[in-house]
Amino acid sequence: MMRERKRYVIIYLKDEIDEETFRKDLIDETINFVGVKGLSFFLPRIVFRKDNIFVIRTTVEGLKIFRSILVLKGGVKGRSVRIIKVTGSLKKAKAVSESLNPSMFSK
Amino acid sequence: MTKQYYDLYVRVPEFDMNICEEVVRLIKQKRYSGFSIAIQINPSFTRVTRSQMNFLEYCAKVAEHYGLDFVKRLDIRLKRVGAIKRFLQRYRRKFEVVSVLGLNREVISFSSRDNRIDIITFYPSKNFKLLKGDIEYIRNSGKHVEFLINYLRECKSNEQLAYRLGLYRKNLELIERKKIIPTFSSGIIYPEFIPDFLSVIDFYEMLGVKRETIIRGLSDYIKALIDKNRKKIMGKMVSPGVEVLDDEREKKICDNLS
Repeated sequence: MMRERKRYVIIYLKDEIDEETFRKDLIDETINFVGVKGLSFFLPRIVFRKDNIFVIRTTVEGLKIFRSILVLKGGVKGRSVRIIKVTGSLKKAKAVSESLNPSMFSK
Repeated sequence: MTKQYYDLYVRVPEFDMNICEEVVRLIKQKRYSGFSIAIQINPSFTRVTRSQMNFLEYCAKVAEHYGLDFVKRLDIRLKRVGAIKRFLQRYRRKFEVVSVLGLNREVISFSSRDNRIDIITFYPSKNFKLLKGDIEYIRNSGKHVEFLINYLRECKSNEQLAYRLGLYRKNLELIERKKIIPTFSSGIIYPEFIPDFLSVIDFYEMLGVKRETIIRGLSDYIKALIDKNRKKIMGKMVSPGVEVLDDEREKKICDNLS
């Protein structure tokens, strides 16, 4: 069986929030929009965090769902979310996140 | 050459010079190449003030400083054709893009036939119907039909959102089938919540529109419309298809012909 292609989405959250709450909110929004079937494609997992910069692991299909949620809702539960970059490997995602300075976005 | 993406409908909470730079900076962060701030004409606000025009001028300057293309846009949201005509007469040449919200049959029918209107904005209600004659006029005069995201964000319940998404899907399918030019904008007041163009592409793709069409609706089609209108305002386009060339371009064309 072929391995599913993953995507690592680097996002910036304006508000301070803990990982678990953000993950739960994201799952709630996904179920609200695409239901449980859609969630099976998305299945977000926070794999890295540096201050307000998060790296979420998802599938290629899941990325489209995530972006659609951001278009429809403007964020996650009223919180502004910005996609900074999408990478194909965790190594690269971590490198990009490490190089970013959160104060660049908070201005 | 990379594509230039536009958000042709950004709204601001107030016409205050202080927020201008913030808006431009956020648009730049979202990696757009150009944007437009629209002045809305609706039954409760029926004139364009001097301060609004000054605000647009100032925005254009700030956008230029940041390397963005700024477009002045007039958005008419009236139900009576007579009132729309009055505004068109007064303001057409002061704005680079003029759009009308398709609130009822009368307005849609008029907007698709009047050459001063560039964009018909889709309004998600059962009143928005493009009939055979309208489609023919829209196609022949190269008008755009615009889809805004803010109507989807304003939904109060999931049922309303589902209903509106259904209308969007139905009308997008019609527009693609009839080969009308679509445009995709945000129409959102706070620039912080404006989606980036990649998200917009993915979202409309989920609604069944071809990726190629969406990309063009965010970039090429808008650029062509703005260029055409700027030429018209500068007096370089005498009538549709007749253009006054500058010396350099004239020479290039003559060389090609010979």
